[in-house]
Amino acid sequence: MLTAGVDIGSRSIEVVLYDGGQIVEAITAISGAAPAENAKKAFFDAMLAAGARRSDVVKVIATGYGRNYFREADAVSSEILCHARGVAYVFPQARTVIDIGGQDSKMISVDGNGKVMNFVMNDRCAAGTGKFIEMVGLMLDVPLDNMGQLTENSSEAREISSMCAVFAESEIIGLTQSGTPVDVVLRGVFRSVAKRTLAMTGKVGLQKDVVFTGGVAKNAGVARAIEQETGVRLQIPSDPQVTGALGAALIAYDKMK
Amino acid sequence: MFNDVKKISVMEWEERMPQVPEAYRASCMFLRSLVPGGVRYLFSPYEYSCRGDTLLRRLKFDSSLAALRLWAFIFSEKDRLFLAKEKGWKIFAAMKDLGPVPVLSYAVPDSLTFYADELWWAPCFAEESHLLDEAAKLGAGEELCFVRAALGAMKTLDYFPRPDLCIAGVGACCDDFSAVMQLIEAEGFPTHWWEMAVRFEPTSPIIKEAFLHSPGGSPYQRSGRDFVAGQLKGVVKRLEEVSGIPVTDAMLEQSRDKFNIIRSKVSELRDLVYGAKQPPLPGLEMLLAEFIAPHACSDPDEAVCVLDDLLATVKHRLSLNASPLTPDPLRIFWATPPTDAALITLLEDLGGCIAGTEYMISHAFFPIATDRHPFDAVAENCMDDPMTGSAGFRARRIVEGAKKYGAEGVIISGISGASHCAFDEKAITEIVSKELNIPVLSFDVPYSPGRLSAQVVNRMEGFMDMLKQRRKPG
Repeated sequence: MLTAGVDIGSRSIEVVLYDGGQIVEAITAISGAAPAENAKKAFFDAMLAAGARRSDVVKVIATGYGRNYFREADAVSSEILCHARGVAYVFPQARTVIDIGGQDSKMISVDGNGKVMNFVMNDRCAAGTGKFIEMVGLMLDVPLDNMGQLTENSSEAREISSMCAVFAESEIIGLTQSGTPVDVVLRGVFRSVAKRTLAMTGKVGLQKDVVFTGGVAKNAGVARAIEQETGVRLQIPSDPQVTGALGAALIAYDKMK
Repeated sequence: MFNDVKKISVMEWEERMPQVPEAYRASCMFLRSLVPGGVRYLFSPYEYSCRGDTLLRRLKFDSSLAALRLWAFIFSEKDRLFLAKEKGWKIFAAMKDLGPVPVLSYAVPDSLTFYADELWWAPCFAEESHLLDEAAKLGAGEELCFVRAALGAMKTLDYFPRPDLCIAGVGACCDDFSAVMQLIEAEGFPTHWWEMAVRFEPTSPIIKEAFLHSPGGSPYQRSGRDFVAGQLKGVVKRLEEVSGIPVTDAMLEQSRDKFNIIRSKVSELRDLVYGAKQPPLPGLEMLLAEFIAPHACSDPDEAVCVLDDLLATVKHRLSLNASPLTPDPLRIFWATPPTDAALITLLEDLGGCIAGTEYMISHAFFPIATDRHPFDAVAENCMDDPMTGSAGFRARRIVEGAKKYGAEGVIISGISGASHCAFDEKAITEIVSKELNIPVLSFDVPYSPGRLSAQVVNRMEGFMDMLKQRRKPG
């Protein structure tokens, strides 16, 4: 018997299959222009990879922005609950979750059981989200996977002051045109993202342990910048992108009990 | 048929309309003092949606006749205004006015006063983005809040006839509105400006004078009230000039008494509905009813009948423990009126209910004192306006309301571009969290006719899920 969590975000789709004891399969796909169809394909790809049939998956919970359009789902759950549940499974000692995804960033305060105590979301502007970092990567011709490494030994950062992603883009163009090295610009971008994250702590606090999830958590440069801004060491799951889908699969399993 | 207690769509209302008793239809009449017997107005929400307010089709309505009457009363306001104008009555537009001017202006015989900038929330019911386009052509773009729709409406006169006078409040109130009103005046609309005083805290080092207390319990400096009273006197003087009718103290007192009746009924309705464990009326109908308090929807006499009808329905439902909402709903205190009415429907669909509000008109539920001159009494009421003081003052009022009605969470729906909201969110969140230890959700509502923003829905769903979790033990 398996349960599934499907997290349909603005940039990516994550599917986790869970058997009540461990994660059987976890895959990631691109949301693209047809997220519901792509989610269905990812869901069946996950089952195929796990050697499971559709009838083996007894409960499916969808989460993320596209959750209401996924027809394979038996139920939906908000990302806030799913992320909290997923993180509590991986790091039971977690009290704060920082999640930076493609379209928004959020900070969740949780108790020891993965119960949400409070949360805050920043989705007013793309700056501070995965989409912004992706856009910067395209501008600077640096692949996402190389960003962290590129800034590892950089000691300097040029501050990006604009709150708006579009104006930040203009600022970055100005910096590169004036000869500022790419690693210095990138560190400035990461610091900017970290400061926006820090701004959310006013509402929910920053209690240890702090866990960093979402696709952006894979970027070591951003993680370092957040640690420097907050003075707190971050815990990062081995696959931070699938935490929401994992939480959905766990909630689906809870409902089965 | 009308004894069932639930929420229904515009089409369901349309199907029920033939069963509405003739005697009930005949009891719903507006402007009885203008037209012998009054004018019938009991149409279904569907009919209004056919006039162009198509966003009504995505809402759910209470199934009672009283609610039908309420909706019809709200949406027939423009019919009253055009009819009154045609019959030679004076039409006054109270601009940036959350209550005081109509109390005084209805003392003028053969006149109607309407709240022109109420159109800022009309877009949440009506697909009237063309009003915003018109406003943009005249210089009021997206940097200003939805109140700019009033400028577009003045230009097109789609919603109301040309007012004989616009009475515009400035000073300790909305900056956006002041900008919009200046553009309206520039378009040639006769305008009288009056100024609202700032309400200082007793701890203020600036004010060295004794503080008084309003009926709402707010401390205020006497000089502020006296200044506003002088401003209101100037308003009445201008009304006399425009109407050619001298306004006596007795006329002012009569109007004050009528508005006190309306205020007391709205206040009673709020306590009955928001205080109930299982609210007997949905949040949308309550929003409409609350907004009757400041302006009586251009017909104070019929407003009283509409409120009486609602009160009778609510009391009857409470006696039966009947509610159109899901059992044991999550209790949410809502601050600032949502610029998209569908948010209230969403809240209830997610298992919540409105348990108290601060729609920035909370002072309009307090009675106007009768033991002093109406100018002083209305001025005193103005000092209770949550917009004239600090954000902390408004936050404290929210705390009081949330406590009174047992709210489990607070939602603040900001208005994009509304400058008077800038510090509300932070102050309210801090004070509510500290004093009540309940979660606060705040967000700006973007204008997107016909669809709720995914981000807003996402936050609402997350918030309601969290509150459900908090109810569970362990």
